[in-house]
Amino acid sequence: MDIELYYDKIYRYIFFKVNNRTLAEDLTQETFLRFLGAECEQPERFLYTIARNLCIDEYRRIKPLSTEDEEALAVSCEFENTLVNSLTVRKALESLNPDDRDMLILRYVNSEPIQDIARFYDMSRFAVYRRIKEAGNRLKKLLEGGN
Amino acid sequence: MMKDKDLKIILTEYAGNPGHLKKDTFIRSVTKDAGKEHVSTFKMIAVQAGYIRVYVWLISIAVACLPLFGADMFRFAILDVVADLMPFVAGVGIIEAMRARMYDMTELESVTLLSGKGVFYARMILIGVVQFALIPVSAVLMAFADTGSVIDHCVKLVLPYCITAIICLIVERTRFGRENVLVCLAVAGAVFAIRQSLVSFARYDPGSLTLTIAAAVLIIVQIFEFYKTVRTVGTGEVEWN
Amino acid sequence: MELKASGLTKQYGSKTAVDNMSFEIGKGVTGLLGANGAGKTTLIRMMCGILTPTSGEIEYDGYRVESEEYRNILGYLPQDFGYYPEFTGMDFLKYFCALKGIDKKAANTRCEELLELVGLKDMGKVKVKKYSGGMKQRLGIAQAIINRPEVLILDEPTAGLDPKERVRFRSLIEELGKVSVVVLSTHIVSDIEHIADRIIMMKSGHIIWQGSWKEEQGSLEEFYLKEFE
Repeated sequence: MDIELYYDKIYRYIFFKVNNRTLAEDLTQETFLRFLGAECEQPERFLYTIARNLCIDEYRRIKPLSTEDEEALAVSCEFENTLVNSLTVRKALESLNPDDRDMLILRYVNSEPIQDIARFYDMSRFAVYRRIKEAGNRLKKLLEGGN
Repeated sequence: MMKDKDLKIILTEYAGNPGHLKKDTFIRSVTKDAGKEHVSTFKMIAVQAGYIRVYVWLISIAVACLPLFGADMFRFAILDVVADLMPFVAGVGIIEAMRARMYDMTELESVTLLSGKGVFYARMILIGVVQFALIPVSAVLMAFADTGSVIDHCVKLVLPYCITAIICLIVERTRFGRENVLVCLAVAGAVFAIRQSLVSFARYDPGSLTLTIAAAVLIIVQIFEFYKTVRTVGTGEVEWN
Repeated sequence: MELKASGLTKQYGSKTAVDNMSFEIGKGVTGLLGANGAGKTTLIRMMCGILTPTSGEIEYDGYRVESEEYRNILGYLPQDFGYYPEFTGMDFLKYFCALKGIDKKAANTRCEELLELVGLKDMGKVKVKKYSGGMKQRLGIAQAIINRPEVLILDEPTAGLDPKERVRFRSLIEELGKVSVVVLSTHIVSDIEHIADRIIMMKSGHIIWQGSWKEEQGSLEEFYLKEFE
């Protein structure tokens, strides 16, 4: 079943877009519910497309997170082993261009091949590679500086 | 500068895992609606194929191919040598099919979709079919060294194989057999000894027609006993607790 | 979600291991409490469909316990279980994925997820032979919940766990009880007194008490000991 395989990936992809666990979980499940009705040859790409569209709808519907949510978030994802504080990570991620950030997540967190990411964004492999590399370096610098 | 791997760890940890209960309930509801397909015999066999140890195949093939390199060494006795080894081939096959019992896995296997019966069924069919298929191969190889007909050779190999397998399958249904899987090797040894005294020393030969009929009957009995044994797997009347 | 038994009886020769038991078990954690030899394991084996009752019936939401449909939504941890000697923890879980009809690609993700959940993340590649008793037990739990079962049956699951593992284990069970029917057999009151939504107390094949234990009823431990004197 594709769900077992992609559930966590889709969840993470959405989480970095909406920055809220519960919402990310709900949207993940919604993604799969929409996906199940359809037949397609490249399930992975289709799932990411549905997820992206759902997130866009969500942006239109809601206002940005309030400070209250922000505090709750900071508490809820305290790290066990890393030295980097979750708020630093969040601020660093927010400073990236959203597309760069999405590509970075697809590559680093979901380990998707560059080739697939390039096809998904309709860009050349080289361009994708360069953008991810740059975004990665920038993020690393921000995270190290935040220590 | 931070390594890519570290960045990956930080980001993955930041995202965390989706709550497993919510995930459980969701996947459960979705897959239940879709309905899990019935596991076909073919699928069961395919799954089990990867879990049969190589040595079983090696022994089966080595015995079957003995005429290739042993024909010169044993001269005309090659048929007897291979026939003498057949009980052990059968015994090893059944031990492998029953492996779950030896390692206390039957109960765990029983509550899966395949079920303990399915596991034994698939393993036994796979091993049995391969071992049976190797008998004519061996008989053909022998025909190059020997004068007898291929069918006669097949029959003389099938007899010790089936007799051992049938006795093992029956023994496996008893409590003693269940608790001592290696009893199959003792059965093989006994069949070997009886064959030795009957055929090699007493030169007992009732003629090929009788033997062929006997072989055909034994094959049917073996299939029957196989199904009877399958039914008992995983439903053992385990001791009081 | 309801496991229903009526007039359930199991006899071995002239001995009666389970005598005319009837109960209904719904979502949540149900503790099956009784001394060794009370008939818990026999009852549990009947609940799993691997032992046929002498008389009486047991079914789950209309499914017979021997059916493929029921096995598909069942998770079971027996009191004793083994493993093939060449198996690593990961191999062990993958084997059960295969037997439970989880396809190969998904199995990998699922097994890793479970190893993490039961705290064996770094032990996946180690042979089960080298596991401690507690680790083996945790692997057993992982195997039981690999198919995300609706019904989870655990026979003396805390045996072999150290105190820290016990606490961790209890909270996992409590959590799973929120979305599944969980039956847990034990002879140790503290294993279940805080997590069980209901308790079935068994003595020589009979139910001697069943219901949910409330604090104002006093100490469960005391009640249990008195019954078993």
